[in-house]
Amino acid sequence: MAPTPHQAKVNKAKIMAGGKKQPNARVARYLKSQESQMHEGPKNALLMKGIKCSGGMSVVLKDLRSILAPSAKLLSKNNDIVPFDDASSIEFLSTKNDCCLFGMASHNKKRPNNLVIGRTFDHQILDMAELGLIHYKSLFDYRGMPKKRLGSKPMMLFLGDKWHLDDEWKKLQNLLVDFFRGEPVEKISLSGVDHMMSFSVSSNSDVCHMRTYYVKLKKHPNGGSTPLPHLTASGPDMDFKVSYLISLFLISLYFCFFS
Amino acid sequence: EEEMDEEEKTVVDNDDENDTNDDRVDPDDSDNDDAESNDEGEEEMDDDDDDDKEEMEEESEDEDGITRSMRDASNAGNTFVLDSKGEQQSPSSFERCTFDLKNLLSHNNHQVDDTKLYSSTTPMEPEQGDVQSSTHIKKIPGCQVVEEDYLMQKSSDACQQLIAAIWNLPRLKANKTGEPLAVLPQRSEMILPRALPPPPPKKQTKWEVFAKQRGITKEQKRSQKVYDEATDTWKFRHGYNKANGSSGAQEWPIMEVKGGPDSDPYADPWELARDAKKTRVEKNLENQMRNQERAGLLPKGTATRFVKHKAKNLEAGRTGGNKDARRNSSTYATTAAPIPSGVPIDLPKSLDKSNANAGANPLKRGKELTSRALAATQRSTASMGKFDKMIEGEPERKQSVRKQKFDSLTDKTRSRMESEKSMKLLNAVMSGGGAKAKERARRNGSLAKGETAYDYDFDDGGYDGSFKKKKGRAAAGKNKKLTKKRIK
Repeated sequence: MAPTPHQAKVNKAKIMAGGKKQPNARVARYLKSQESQMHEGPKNALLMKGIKCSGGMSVVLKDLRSILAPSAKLLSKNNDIVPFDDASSIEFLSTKNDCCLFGMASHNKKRPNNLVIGRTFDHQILDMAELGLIHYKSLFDYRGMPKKRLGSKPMMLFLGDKWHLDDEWKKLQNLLVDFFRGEPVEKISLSGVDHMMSFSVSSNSDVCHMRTYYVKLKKHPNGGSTPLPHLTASGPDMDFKVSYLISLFLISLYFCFFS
Repeated sequence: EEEMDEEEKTVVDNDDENDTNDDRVDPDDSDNDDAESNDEGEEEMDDDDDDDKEEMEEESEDEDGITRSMRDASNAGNTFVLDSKGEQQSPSSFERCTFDLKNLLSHNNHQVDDTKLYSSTTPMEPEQGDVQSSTHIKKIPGCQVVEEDYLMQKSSDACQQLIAAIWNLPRLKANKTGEPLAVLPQRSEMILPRALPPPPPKKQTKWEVFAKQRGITKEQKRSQKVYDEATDTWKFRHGYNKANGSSGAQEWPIMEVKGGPDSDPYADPWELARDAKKTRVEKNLENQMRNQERAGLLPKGTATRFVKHKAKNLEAGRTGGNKDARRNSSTYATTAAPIPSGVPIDLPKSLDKSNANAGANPLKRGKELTSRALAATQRSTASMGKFDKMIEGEPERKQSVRKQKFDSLTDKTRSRMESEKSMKLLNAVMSGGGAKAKERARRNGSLAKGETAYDYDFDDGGYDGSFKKKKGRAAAGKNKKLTKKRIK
């Protein structure tokens, strides 16, 4: 639970005056790590349920948490939040949980199987996309199949020309990459690339197909040191339509900082 | 080239055997309910990687004079497709992808072939021989069915190209576990935002500014340990159980009186040492706070408030505190201790301990307190000063105790007034303290104009539908229907 900036200042003044002391060195270290830093680590994701959530959507959230672990937090209670009406509750929750990304699942008759994913900057909403899931295959459905390791970085593919032609899909692409890419690193271990996520949109329809594959690197039959990847379907598969998208990031590009 | 040698075939077959080993997921695992446990397998040491490592050490030429790097280059150009059995299929029409290697991202910007992606021939497949699926999100009828093999093929293509690109990146020597590392490009093609704004640059403290200006740098490092003469051991310079005692000079059993004009042989040197240390520590703290104020991390004025507070506490401690402080605070400055009123005491010459100022500014009671002391003296007899003789020039004695006045019992007008009085009192109570109290509350900001505490309903979390039947022990005696008979 991180304090708001005002609370942090007040606490600091109290400590400096020799009054209230930080109860724990560990707590102090944690709070320091949550302050803004020059080089940022992985973005934390906060997964929660909306006003009403179905069993299927709960599974979706659980799977998302499995993929994004350990940088994901799954909350269990239903929240009385309508993101596109009033996102201040989400901003508050992101402050308190130190999470920059969020995902909210809900289900009602008008918008069945709804998943709102978004990201914040300085704990204020930057982007939000409302995805209506049409088809979903969970990790449970792929039980017994090999899956990615905890915390490994995904290889990603965006298939289709819509991703760079259409503005809406460009914004969504940016958001999806930010959501799933994990920790921004300077070097990777060559044995550590073990899964691939592909997002495909065909030119005529507006349905995006997300598929996750487990990648096993095998010797190339032709020889040579570059291995040949062998893909098996693993992990969650999702087909969705974008029903609503707010993106302030690409508008304010010049005012944001590069990561 | 497309055909595999028999040797290599066996290598590939061995890999297939390795696939069935139990490192990753045990299908009979009872933890299958939680999808998470499927992912968190132990770290697997891949046999393939060991082979790769050995191979990379040599750059040997093949029979045909083709080196490995040449093969890599050629392999990058061709894509191989392995189907689910690990057998090779003929290479597909190849689409080159663009990459953003910092994010391990590949873009296939070619148009997606709808006829291949959505095939109407494949029916909505029922889950055959499978345990009931966990998800309730089934394909919406009428929605197009995706050809999974097509997507897998495209992803395979892109993955091959991406892996080839990663393998071509500059390498770092193996890390601690012996695995080779590829160095990713510094910048990513796709611009992604930060989570928080970057931290503001640290403002320099007053000393740092001065040191930079004068070119003062830190001298050689102090040693971590210091020889402690008391215990004849080497102890740490700072921290727990440090050298030369934790409280420093206060712990010494004998302290010399320093000769000189200022030295007072009757002063308590330990008290002086303690006071000196306290002042030093507080001064240091004050300076830190001022630096933080300058940097904007603390609200302005915190340091001065801190100093004043400490000074006040020091004085209060020295003079034993003062119950009259609140009463007298307007007249007297905070540094001088307020003098108790109404009680004649021997006032000390001065609170300043140094001899030079002893006679100069003796403490004075002042006019107000003298008159109060006099008033207290006037009434300090058994009869509260009623029958005492007045001296010439003495101010009039105020009667501090008021007589209680009772209303007449027989007078009719008076008895009517009594009922009016009671009603007035009741109304005042019901309206939250009467007009005066209301005004006072409004003035000090606790109530808006016209409001009282009684104007708001207490919100106990209940609403029209919030009645809950009690169950179990809590229901004892509470679940009977409330009838007319029972109300009586």
